[in-house]
Amino acid sequence: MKGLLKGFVAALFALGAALPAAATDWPTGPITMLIGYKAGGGTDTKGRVLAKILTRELGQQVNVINRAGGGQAVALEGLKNEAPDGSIFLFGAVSGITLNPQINSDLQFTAEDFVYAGGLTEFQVSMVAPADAPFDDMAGFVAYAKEKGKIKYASLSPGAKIIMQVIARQDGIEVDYIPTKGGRGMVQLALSGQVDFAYSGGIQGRYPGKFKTIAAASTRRLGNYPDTETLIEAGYEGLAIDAPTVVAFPKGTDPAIVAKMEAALRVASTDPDMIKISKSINMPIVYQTAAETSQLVEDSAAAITIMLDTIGYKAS
Amino acid sequence: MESFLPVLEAAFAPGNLAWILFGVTLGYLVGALPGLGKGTATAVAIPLTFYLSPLAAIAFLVGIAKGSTAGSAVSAILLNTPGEPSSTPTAMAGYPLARAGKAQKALKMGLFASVIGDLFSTIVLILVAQELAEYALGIGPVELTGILAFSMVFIAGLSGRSMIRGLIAGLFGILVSCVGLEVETASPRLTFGLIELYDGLPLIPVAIGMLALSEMMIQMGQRRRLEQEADLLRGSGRREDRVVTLGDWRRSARAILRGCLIGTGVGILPGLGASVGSFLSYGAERRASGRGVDFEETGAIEGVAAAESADNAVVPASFVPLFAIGIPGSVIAAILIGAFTIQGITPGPLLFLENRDLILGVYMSMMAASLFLLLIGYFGQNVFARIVRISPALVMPVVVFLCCLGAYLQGGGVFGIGVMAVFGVIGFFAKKYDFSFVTFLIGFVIGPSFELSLRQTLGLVTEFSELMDHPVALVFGALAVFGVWRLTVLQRRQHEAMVKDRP
Repeated sequence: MKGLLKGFVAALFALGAALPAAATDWPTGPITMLIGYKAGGGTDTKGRVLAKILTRELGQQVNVINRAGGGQAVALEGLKNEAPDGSIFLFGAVSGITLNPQINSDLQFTAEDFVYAGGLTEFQVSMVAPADAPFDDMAGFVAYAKEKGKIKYASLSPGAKIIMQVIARQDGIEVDYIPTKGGRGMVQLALSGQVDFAYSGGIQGRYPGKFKTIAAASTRRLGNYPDTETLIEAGYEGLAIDAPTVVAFPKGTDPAIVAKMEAALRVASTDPDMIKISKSINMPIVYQTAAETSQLVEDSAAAITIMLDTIGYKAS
Repeated sequence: MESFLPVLEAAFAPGNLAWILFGVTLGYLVGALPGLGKGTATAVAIPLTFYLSPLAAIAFLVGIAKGSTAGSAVSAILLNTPGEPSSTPTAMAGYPLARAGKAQKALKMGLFASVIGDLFSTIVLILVAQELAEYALGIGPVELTGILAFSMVFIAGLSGRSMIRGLIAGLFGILVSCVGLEVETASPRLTFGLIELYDGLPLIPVAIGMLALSEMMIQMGQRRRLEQEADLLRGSGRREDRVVTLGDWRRSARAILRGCLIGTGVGILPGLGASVGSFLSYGAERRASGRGVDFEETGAIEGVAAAESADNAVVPASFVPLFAIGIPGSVIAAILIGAFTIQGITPGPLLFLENRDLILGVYMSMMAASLFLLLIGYFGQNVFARIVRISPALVMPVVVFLCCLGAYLQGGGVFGIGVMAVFGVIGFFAKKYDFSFVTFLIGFVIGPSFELSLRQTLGLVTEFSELMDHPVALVFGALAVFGVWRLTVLQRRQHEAMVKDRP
């Protein structure tokens, strides 16, 4: 009897999911935008502009709440446990969803706990060197590193360290990893000539003439550096940690709500304020549909799994 | 020189002045609330500036930063709850004064010292930003490790009657600062599976718990006596308790001058932070006065002056590396980078070439903000100072409520209140058993920077001979070792003297 009931309920749900996204009267009340970082940073600044545009597009107040901690982990853990009624969503970099749960076994969420309404911008994830470095591409860097014997690398996150570990393993380079706190710590080390090479989330764009962008750490070439090869093009198979900024709802959110948000994001991507802020914080607008974003999250998470296996990473 | 007039006109345009005044007032009010400091005030105001002109936007934010830095002395002195950790020494020397009926005197001295420190540092910024920046860049992780080690030893000299207990408290502070994701591989340390602990224990709830909540617990135990004292407080209308006398100035002049120098120096070096500045300055004055623990027991006007002048001097000085090389020297400076970039301006060497007028305008606005600070602070204090005349039975619940509010806002919601409660209990026993909560907080605040710069040093300096390239680090390292030796000798002598005195 119980099994029968279960089957019936499941069938009902399947029917519901198969129906085309119905029109929705969402939103009927204020909506919360979660930001997984402290107020004042790049994602936060952009999120606040987006909130303003969404308020106008959706006809309800969109309030920004900063819940910082553990590279968005605190915010994502919270979002996972929220009711999937469209009243709350997260705006942030996708790497917090694809990478963090794989390197940290304490985290309860995975990329499958959320549904994605689309992507808006992209961190310019890349490998950089000080402007006076004697190399311009990955081949040149490897030759330089071999000649020097051992290089110093500024590592601003676990992801940054993993990328360098893969490169070092493939080319047999010796590396001293210097941890830094965030992009600005990296900039200080690089500008004072204390490191040879570094990973950057795109902060080099704010220091014109001070950095060389050696390679893109994303699947495709970057908007700000179209002439720079990706690591994959340079011969490092599958080596990319994409970091578009996306809008994520808790799993189970009505597809009609997701579709409405997707449409609003499309409008936001051409809004003059959004264009202005993207220029000034050096993060180009790269609009992606909900379907494209979901696919990207899936692919990226799978690529990271392979990468971690390659270097024998054990989640702590 | 011809181009200077339009700059002056822009800086002193009524619209711009109004924004500065608004910023200073807002900052002072926010700073006066326990637990809300300059970081919060400035960060929250950034979206407000999106539609302002670059000059007005930056002047407004700088006004908030200056106002809140000075404002946090108000709650430190009146309620023993610093608005932010860097006002902790102000609470230690100033709250006893308030309890002795000299709240207005302490508040005024705090304000004057703040304005002097702020003005001094602003002038240094204007005169030497470009030249100093090059040197600041040379201060890397290796040098910072040396300086931080020296600072810790120096501040450990504050540790109450027993050095052993002070060290225990300091090391406990460092241990507590280790909670959270480890910086290089993001492995969780001492988090017990709690995601909220991933970014470490939140600073403000810990500080509020240790200082204010524990103090409230102790006071509640002595309520009857305090009620009687409150009557005395109310009665103390003597003029010399309300104003800063010539004698006070004489006692504090040296402390203020030293505070200005220490604060400016700390601000220019990226990564040290305002807390190091105010604690160093306070510690130096306490040492120079030769009064020891009496400083915290009866209060000390020169202690307030030392802490506040240094605390406020850090803010403008931390713009030196920001304006000149684009590297923030403080939280405020880091937030300002965001504000600059919103306006399409890149802080760095090019700033002086491409946006010279803007920078000059900002300098003028900063000077104006210093003067507004004096006005707002002077008249605002009369309002705040009434707090001490209210019966403790009414003040205590309000303070506990404000503590909870600060912890909630800065500690990630209800979790922050929990952290505050736990450290309130720890602070209660620390005070009862004379474990220095000062060294605890210092360990807690400096711990993460010390760990990071030490680990960076271990990566950067792999051969012993490479250390020779860092003379600054070597000097400070040697001073730290010398400090430990000297403190030990002093303690032993005191101990022997005590034993001898015993019949």
